[in-house]
Amino acid sequence: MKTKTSLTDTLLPPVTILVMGAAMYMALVGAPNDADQGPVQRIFYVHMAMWLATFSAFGLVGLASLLYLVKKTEVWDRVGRAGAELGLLFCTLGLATGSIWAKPIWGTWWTWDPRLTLTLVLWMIYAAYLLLRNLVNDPQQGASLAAILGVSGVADLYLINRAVYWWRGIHPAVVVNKEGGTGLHDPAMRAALILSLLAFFLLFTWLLRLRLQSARLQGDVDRMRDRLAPGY
Amino acid sequence: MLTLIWKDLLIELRTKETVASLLLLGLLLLVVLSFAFDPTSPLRKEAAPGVLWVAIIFAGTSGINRSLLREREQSCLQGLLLAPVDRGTIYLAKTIANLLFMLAALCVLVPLFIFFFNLPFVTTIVRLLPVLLLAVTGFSAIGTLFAAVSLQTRAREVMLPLLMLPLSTPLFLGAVEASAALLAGDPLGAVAHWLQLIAVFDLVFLVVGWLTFEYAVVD
Amino acid sequence: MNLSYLFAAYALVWVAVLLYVTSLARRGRELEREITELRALLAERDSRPADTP
Repeated sequence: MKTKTSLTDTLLPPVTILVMGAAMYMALVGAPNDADQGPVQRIFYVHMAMWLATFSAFGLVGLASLLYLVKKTEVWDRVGRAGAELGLLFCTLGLATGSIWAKPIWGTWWTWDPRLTLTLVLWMIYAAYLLLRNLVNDPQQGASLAAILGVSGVADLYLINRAVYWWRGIHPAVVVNKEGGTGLHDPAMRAALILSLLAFFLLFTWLLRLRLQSARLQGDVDRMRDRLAPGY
Repeated sequence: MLTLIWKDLLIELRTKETVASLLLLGLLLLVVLSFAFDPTSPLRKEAAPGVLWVAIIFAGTSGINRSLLREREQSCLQGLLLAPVDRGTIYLAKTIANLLFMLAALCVLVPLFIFFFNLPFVTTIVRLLPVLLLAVTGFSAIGTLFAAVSLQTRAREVMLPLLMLPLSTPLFLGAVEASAALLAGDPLGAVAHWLQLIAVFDLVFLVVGWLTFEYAVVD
Repeated sequence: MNLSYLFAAYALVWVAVLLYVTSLARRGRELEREITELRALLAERDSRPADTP
């Protein structure tokens, strides 16, 4: 597996940087200012990207958790953990960017907007997952326990989504939706959004690989320690 | 499986630990939360369903924790695991036992709630019954699973609410919203979507629990 | 003009990502160092005749 991925490893960073550059240009300069919200609206491009990354990570954690429970191979536990870390990172950023955007537009840092609320609940699930991993003495047991949480989270996701939207009296049409009702008719705006989503998705993938590599090294270290002196 | 449930019930009848702690904590929360609202303020009436469910959920969390903790302490679980019983069955048995405990506690807590909030007695009980039953089932299902999970961690009792509550969002929101509407006199049809949501939640976690419980109790 | 919010949001994202990357890189270096150390220890132990079973 190590030599096979080297092509992706060499291509991913430069491609990511390229796309990210284009995305940032479009988001900050290329796309026009929003008619209603002004330049602040540009936060939208990065905010949605955080959203995409958070959900991708969530799905990944769910999948990895399921596969770990079924196959019991360490790889899936590593993927789950890496996904949860990145998920927590992007989720936090999603909440932060959403909040920063809300302040000038809606006049308040926090609203119980269904999407923000959903993201908050997800954040808590991610945090619980990582906390669980760290608070268990036996790493294998910890992996199983976290996997249970991972699977539960994904199974629950749709229900949480419905609950939160109904709570606010809104019927969700599509989960990933535009905020603030902006129509995004302008092609430059659409381009900015798509580029941004793509760029951060690539970044997410890159960071995931880096994190997985780190986890692999950690696994090696643990194995070598075990060989030197069991329990060292 | 019936024997397993019966065993749990028998232990409880002798020690009455779980139901007692459920009751006391529930009562405490009802009182404290009532203190949070001025008795004459209209806010109080609006807050009633929320208060009820917060009390049920936090008392329930504690109760389920105790019930599994006790099982661990007395190494019953080890003994059970040695026997050729399907883990999923153990999970279901514990869930049903916990459910029964919670229902028993509700028999006291709900009247108290009615008493404190000055609601019509029979009407309230009749109206709330479907929500109570559905929600407590789901609560027991997810609680039993994650109590087993959290007891393996260093943070033990603190871990359970951390794990359970975010996931229980549909349960909590559903219970509170449906209760609020029902108490206000809305017909069952008006809250059907919430009840359905809770029912699906129950099903999902019963299945997840049944399938994954074995991974939580490998010792 | 709300530009400060815009700046804050983008800056936050980039600072966070860069912090994460640097911490990953640092972790990676530490691990590599540890691996070389452990390899040396293992090699040394394996070259010695076995002391106790």
